[in-house]
Amino acid sequence: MNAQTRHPQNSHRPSSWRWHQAAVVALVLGALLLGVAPGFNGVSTADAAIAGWCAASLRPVDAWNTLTVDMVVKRQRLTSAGDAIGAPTPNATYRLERSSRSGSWKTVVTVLAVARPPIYSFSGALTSPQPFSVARIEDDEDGSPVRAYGANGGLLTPTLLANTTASTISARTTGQQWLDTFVAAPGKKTARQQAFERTYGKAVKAGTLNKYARLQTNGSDEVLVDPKTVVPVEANTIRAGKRLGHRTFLYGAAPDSALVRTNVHADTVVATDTGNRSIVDTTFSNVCLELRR
Amino acid sequence: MVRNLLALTIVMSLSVCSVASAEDGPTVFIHGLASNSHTWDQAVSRLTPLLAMQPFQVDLDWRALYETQAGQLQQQLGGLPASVVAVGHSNGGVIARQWSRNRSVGSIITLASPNQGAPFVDHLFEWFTFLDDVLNRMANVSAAFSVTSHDVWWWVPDRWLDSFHFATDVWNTAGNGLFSLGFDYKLPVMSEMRVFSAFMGNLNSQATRDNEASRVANRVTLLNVARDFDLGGPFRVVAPDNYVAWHNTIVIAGIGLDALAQYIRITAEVQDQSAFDLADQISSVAEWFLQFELVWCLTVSDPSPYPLGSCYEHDGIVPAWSQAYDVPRLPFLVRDQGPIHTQETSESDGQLYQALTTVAGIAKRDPASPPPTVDPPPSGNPPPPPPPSPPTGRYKIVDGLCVWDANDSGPDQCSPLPPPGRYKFDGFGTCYWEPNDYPPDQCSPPASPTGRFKLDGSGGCYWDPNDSGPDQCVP
Repeated sequence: MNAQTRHPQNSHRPSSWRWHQAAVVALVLGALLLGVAPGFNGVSTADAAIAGWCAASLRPVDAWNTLTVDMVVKRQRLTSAGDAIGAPTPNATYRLERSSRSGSWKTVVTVLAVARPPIYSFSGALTSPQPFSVARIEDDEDGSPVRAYGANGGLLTPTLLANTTASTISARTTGQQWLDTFVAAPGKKTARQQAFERTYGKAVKAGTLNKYARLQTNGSDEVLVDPKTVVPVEANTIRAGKRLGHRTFLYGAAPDSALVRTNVHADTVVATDTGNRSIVDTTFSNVCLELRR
Repeated sequence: MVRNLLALTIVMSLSVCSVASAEDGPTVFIHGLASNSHTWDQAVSRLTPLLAMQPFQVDLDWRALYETQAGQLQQQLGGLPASVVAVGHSNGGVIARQWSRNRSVGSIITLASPNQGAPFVDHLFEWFTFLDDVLNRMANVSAAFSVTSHDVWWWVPDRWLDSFHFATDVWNTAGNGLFSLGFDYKLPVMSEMRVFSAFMGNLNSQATRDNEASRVANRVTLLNVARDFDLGGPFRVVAPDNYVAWHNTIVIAGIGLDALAQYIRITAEVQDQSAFDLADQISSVAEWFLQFELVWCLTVSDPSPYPLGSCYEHDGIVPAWSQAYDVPRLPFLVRDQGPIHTQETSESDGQLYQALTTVAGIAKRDPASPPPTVDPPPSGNPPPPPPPSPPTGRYKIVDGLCVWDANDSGPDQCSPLPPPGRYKFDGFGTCYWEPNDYPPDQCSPPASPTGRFKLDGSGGCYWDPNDSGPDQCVP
């Protein structure tokens, strides 16, 4: 999807447009919660039709020790006018797996696909690029260097990396609470609201959404939150009166009336003199919770 | 002083080749950009005992304009007979062609020469802009991290540190390495090396090519596509013995940083928008690593003068399409999986032997002695011998014609098909159809007129089928 057409950026756009956009998002969320995608309550395993959620997944409240998520990352550089600049960036599809079988979490990121542009031969015919050489990255989350594996399963040695070991070895996350940030359960709505208020103070109404904002040097940061679910739908970074960062969030339905993040779309000004922008669009799908032995 | 050194080099090369005799054909070996006469030492020392040639290796001011270097060549070797064979590597091939415009030359052999220009010169600014951008991207990561909660994300810099150090190494080594290879757009010859320079436009004009074909009896281009040309970006040529390590580390750094960004996006608290900013900035550095090899391929091979377009097979510096010229009148010997550009002079004995004997007419000293059947393997990494297989046939040059030899194997030496033609720039920005040439197109074909209604100047509205654009009136 063209990021430009999907998320038109204009810091001078009338504010009514933003509210209109936010209202549409909220409407979709509301529809999901009110039963357009019914049957989430009481299901023991997720319905295959639930957007973003894999068919065989356990529920967040079940005993699970492994999360897998497929992610498609699309990136693009644009001028302030929206024209593409620089070389194309290959779209990358990854599967992230976080598992905890011995009490500590480990992360494995598998490269499912990295699109590579064709190469033309002397006669103009297409030739295939060489296969992508990295198949998997493993991070034990204990400060030790990450490990990379090739397509044949062999360990790749990044001989030109210093491979410094972290001086402090400490678990980044414990327990399973970290999933709450990715899968928003309705029962933890109050906790989310309190977390927003701790960071930003009280919200003000902004159309159908709640706006949390805090002043920063020469500007402000604001987050627009759906009041019914207390999940962020839009975040903006404003400096010197210009919106330099704009991020939107999309959600799909998860078991037990929860919401799972399905898309984060970021549009950031990377050069204030030219107004050139960086677009990063990440889509999450096939979210699965499992109990692995 | 320089001239004395040049003379000394010539004398030395003559004295080394003790097997040469008065009947041997004079053969001039010309070096290319950021090189000197010694680049030919190995090939000359191996080929001279096999072939009845009297080698001359010259040192030219490789920074100077092509015309200047051709003038230096004429100044040093102008006394050689009209039957002289000129063998030029890289820019040396273009100099040989330029030399032949002002004097008689018997044969021209170009080895991996940018005969139609070197796209890297056209895209050099884009390449270095891309290279430098990693510094901005890393600075943005640091800035984004500075406003995150360090209680939560304290461990993240440990995860990016190695990759960022490596990115700095890449930036530094690629920049300096390319500079040492002559990638300096301030050099006089660079302006002529552009694909669409006036010099190239003139050298490759139909009239000049016709003239060259009529004056030089024997010509051949030796095309080389380097093995793994798409791995490691510039490190394939800057660090030819270590490019696989550069390639692996570049990809691992890119995927590793992307994985880090994804981890943050999954685990960041919803109210922690600064963490999402940090993830985006880390992802931006990952993007740079993942673009690195592609941008290099586009830089050295994209034929368009416009922003980077397509990637073509190359030898590390010169795309195969530019190594060829005047196709199909001028035959070419294609070598796939060949050496990298800077090693072509010492690892192309087989191609040179074939070109010197079959095209330039250099006699073998001992007709019974076998030719060098394969080019020397890359040092330290000899490939395993290929399994025996029945001949698959290939097109070969025999008596100047391209014929099918069913009892031979290997890459085709020539193309029997008529050229399909391609769109080219004429040097003045106009795109035209060149029927006697091969793809890739250098430009998009001019759009055919779609017609439009126009005002005739007296209030009337008429249909002009030979124009395009918005209607000026409604009939």
